Amino acid sequence: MNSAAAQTPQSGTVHFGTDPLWEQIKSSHSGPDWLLAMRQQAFEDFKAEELPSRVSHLWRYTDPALFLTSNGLGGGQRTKDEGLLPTILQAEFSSGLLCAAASLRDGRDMAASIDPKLASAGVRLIDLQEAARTYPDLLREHLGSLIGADFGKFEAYNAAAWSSGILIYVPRGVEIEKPIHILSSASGSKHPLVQRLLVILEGSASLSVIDEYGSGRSNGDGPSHSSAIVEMVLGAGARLKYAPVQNWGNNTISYLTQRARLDADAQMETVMTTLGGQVGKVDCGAILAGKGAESNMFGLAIGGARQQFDHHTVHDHRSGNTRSDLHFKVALRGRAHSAYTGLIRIEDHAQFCEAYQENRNLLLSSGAKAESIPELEILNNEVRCTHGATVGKVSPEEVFYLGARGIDPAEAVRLIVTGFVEPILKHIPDGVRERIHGEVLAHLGETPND
Amino acid sequence: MTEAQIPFRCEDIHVAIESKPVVKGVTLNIKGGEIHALMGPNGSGKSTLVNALMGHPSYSLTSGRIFVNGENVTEMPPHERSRHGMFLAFQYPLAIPGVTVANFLRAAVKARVKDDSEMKAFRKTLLAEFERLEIDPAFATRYVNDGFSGGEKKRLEILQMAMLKPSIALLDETDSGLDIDALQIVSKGINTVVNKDVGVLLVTHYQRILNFVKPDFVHVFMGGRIVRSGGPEMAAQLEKEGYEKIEKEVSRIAEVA
Repeated sequence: MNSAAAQTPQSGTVHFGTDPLWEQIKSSHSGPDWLLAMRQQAFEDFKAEELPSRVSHLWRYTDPALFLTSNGLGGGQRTKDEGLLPTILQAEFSSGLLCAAASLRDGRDMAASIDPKLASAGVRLIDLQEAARTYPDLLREHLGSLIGADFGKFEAYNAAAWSSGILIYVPRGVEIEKPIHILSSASGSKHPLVQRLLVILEGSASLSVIDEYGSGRSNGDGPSHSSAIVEMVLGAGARLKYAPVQNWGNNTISYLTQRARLDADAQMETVMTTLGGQVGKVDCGAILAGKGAESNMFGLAIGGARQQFDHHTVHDHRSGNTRSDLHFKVALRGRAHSAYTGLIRIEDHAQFCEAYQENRNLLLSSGAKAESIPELEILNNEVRCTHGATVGKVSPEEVFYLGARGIDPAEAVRLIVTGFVEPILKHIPDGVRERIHGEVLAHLGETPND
Repeated sequence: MTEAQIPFRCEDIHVAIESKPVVKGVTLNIKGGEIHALMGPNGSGKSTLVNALMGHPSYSLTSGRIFVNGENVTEMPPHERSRHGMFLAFQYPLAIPGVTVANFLRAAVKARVKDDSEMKAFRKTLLAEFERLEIDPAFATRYVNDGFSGGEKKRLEILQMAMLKPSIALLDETDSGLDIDALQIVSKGINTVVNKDVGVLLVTHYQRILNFVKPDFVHVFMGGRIVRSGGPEMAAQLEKEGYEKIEKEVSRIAEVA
């Protein structure tokens, strides 16, 4: 019997906002008292906050009620492979592709391996509750600083209930070439996973993080719900590459909220890939807080069957001379549905900014549907800003061109779609890219109306 | 020459676009090593003809038959026609962003080989063709026609032709949009690729390219029909006198008839 199934204490009776949930949170809490107090405040916020209205910003496309669960919290029971990295991570780490690997299974403690040289250089990859005890000042400063309990009802829920999490800390000037790969997975489908990731890069540090959720759409159902919050703090001149990959099984309802804050001249590259789940909601943003900061975002969502995706990106220019660029691509089969909203915000005093945004949607079946909504809040005139969105199909002209070269229509579509996703996939860090590429092609290769 | 050795034959081709007749009865026989120029004014239906011969989905063949190496390809979809030896160099080659020239050609070559072992030589063949056609090998890693200049697009069409080794090459206004330098380069490419086994139907509005690619036959195409056929000298005559003179003659004949 798997661990999640073994722990079904109050099925049907536990609801968020009732005290039994708080009792569960308290009993699974293993951090210091200040953290428990923070959880309690967040829990009260969660209870006080109404469910978002379907007409409010960011909730027009996905029913917020989907993110409520009556399954209580996962985690608790330990399995015998606790503390071991999953095979795939172990293989990547052993073959030298990664500088570190970490796994979070069933929302419990993490397993991790890290290059000893990095550890001695002061790089930390540790459990977040443990970090709250070991580095209380650092965590009190940053935990919840970008996505606090006041962010929204579900963020408050996460802040109260997160059962596992990771801190990555890179000291000033430490530059790391190989990526860290984090894999979050679930062995059962009855419970939600509630997790957090906090990444702190001191000035001039550099790092790549692959943040993967789920081990493939073909590998079981995944958890009922996944709530993940990712906060990333970049000091002056720091460089971060962040690649979240959502690859949950077919039944999971997931919600990822991510924010990064960039000090002067910091650079961030985000490459998000959404493949799995029944409903996938992502809110991903970069706050360009210091002069000269730059954020480049690349996104790819591949949907089939009745998958439903809702992506929101934010480029918030709070300082002058900052730059942002975004390319978000969506390919849909079956009766999949995608909504994309992209906000560019430039403050009145933030002059001489550049901001670009492009969203392309490729519909591979007549039942697929994509919406694209740019949102521009530009409060001064000294900016360069463009945005564009397209929703289209593979044209008969394109298929004819490839046909005139002997390529049959099915292969032509495959080639065109491969070309469509390629400019995004090439940004995924080496070593992991090939496998993700394979997953994307497999997802696209399924029968068109599946 | 036996039937099977004639690379291309089409009989009484009629084509309609949205049920409007555009091509009204075209018959052509093209033998190996022959270059046929199909010349005509804008809007005469030249491009429609060659696109329909290749099987363009928007053009319906209302009657007629197409043979490649003696085999009837009339009912085949475009990719089958290609595999039987037809090639169309597009007037406006399409961009396929994200797909490199090398991967595109690999897919095209793979579509016509019998087993994968034949793909082993692919890279070597590709590099050899780059060299033969004097194309920078850096082309291989660029996305197909994405951000290409007009000349580069046409050179890539010729490279594709070289890699696919067709029996019949339909070249649709391969000279359009090229300056004189680019035209010479592309013409040189055509002459390099064409040999005694390949038949060519070169569609053009202008005589200019025929200074570099010498035709064996010239057909004048007007109002959806071939109205005159002759030797290479006819191209020069056309250039001098324009299409108008022939047009008048043709309409006179039509009145008499």
